[in-house]
Amino acid sequence: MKVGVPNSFCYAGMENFFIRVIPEILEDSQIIFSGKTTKEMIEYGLKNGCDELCIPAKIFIGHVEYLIRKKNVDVLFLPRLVSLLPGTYSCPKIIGIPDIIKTNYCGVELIVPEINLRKKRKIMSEKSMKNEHLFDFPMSKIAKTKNILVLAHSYVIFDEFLNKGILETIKSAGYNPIYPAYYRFNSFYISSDLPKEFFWSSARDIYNYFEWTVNNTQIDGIVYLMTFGCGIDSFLQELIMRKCNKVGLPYLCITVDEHCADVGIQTRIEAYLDMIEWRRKSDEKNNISTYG
Amino acid sequence: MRKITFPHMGNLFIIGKALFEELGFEVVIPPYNNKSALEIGKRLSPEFICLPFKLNMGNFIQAIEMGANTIVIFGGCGPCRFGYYGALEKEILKDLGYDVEMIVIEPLFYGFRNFLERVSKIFARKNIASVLKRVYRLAKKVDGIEKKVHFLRPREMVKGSVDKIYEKFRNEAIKVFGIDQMERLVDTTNVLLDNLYIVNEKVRKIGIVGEIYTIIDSFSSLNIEKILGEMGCEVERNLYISQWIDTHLIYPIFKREDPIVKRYSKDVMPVLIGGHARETISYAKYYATQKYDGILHIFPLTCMPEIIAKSVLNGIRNQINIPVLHVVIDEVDSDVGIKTRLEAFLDLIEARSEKFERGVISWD
Repeated sequence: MKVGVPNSFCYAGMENFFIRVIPEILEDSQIIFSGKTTKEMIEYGLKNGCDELCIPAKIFIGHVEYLIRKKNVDVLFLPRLVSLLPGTYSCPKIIGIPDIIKTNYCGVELIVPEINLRKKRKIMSEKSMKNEHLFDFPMSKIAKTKNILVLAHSYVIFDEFLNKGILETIKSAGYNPIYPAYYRFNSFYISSDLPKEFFWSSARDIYNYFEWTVNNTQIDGIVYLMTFGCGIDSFLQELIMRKCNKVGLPYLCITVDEHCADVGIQTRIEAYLDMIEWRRKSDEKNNISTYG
Repeated sequence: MRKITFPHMGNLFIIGKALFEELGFEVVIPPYNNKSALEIGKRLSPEFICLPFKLNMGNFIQAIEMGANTIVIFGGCGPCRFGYYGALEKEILKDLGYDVEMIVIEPLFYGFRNFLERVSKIFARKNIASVLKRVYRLAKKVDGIEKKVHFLRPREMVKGSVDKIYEKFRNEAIKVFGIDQMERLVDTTNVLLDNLYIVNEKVRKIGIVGEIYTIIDSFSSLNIEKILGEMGCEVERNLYISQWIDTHLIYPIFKREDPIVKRYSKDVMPVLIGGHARETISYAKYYATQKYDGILHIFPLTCMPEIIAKSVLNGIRNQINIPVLHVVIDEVDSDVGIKTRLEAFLDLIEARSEKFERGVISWD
């Protein structure tokens, strides 16, 4: 039996988890990943996704359609990620995405196990459900100086179509990009200065990482990659912007959407990095703080 | 002295005002949602936040200028963004330098002591049980008026007379004090509405589903119910304030669920995804079985659960076989665009029903 797994949106970075879990559930199954986002998938997604969906979800629909059309999968494996940390929820779009696929692609069979750690109730097998085994992302390395913190959901940071090569742009300008990856952090750090803890798993992660890096490392600036129409980002971005204003860190927010050209974003990043460079120089020259 | 205010949402101010006055507080009601409230909200809120947040900010600033010093709002722990409203609004007001106390009533998920601490600030003195019971009865009655207005609008003989009575009721409600007076006002309004002359014309029935704020609050839905009424449509919607109290405060105590939601969401959306997405889908399916002529789905731009609901409704459109119009509300404050779309929608319904009457089964 061919089991299709899309590698996009909330399932990005879960490859190892799927390879481990699917044979446990389904016997003689052959796992087929959709792989990296291609132009074809984006076209499928933009054509068939509902207009108001955020762009990662649209691309996800493209991945699913690619699996159905081109790979002839028998069944799709889409766990419902209700909650990935105790006391939190995922984004409603992540929770509801199996329902969209189910109603829009009627001919396909779906396997939708529920992953819900909200009240420590576990539906799938215990061993595979430990948080640190869910996602595998390459971690960023923190340099001594010249760090730029890039904040976004992991599925944006690791999708080259969505981030338009922003990490490369920063690297080629001589800075070291650092970024949060899901669920590596919460065990040892819980943010304290928020008016209320976030109840979204991913938002809690991103804010924790942001606060930890601001307090413990030397960073020169923050770039927030926001996806158009993302509900979580609308809150998170505002709170991070307010914090940056108070601390005096350079902050840039970029909204990514369906546009395929990456030149506009690169120009903005380069201008931003130039500004940081000037600021550093004038800091060194006259010893008067530009922080005000 | 506490001067309490709370955000607008349709007729919520009638119920909230009666409740807090009965508990012995002074209540400040900001002006109804209007352009200037939206203008203030747009300026102060994050760009991609949903519309209710922006209107809330506008309400708060206007109420503070009128002398309010305490804001009461519900919190939440669910995946919908509403749960974080209070926290961010508090932060924004603090940064603007307003000296107000915000009482965010969080659900029991965040601990019983936390809940009691917040609630005791507003429920300290009186016999709560009897007050809450009477407020609940009042909420039912106020929603009854709204239902009656929806029924009468397309059938009234003198056009505009229903709205005249309804407007007067809303304006009087700000002036009266306490539950008793409010109930008397509701009763007189009921009598006035009952004595209207009605004509028996052919009336189309439209079901409204969607996000709670935008379907209850007539300003943010650009008066869709009124426009539809004037075009000769009776409107039924799935959410009223008393119904919200039922499903969120009373059903959980008895571990019950809305029977329609339970029945119609089983195969399409088995788990809660936050907001009212499940209600939207199940009521749309329910209305389709109940001989309604069409369904309006209303939600604010970037509303997370309702976008899922829209996608799912798109997927099952052949199954439910009823015209559905999705209306996304953003910061537009003119209703001309909506009117055009509604006219086209009603034309479609008309054409479809003629086909049905001629015995053509499929209308696609």
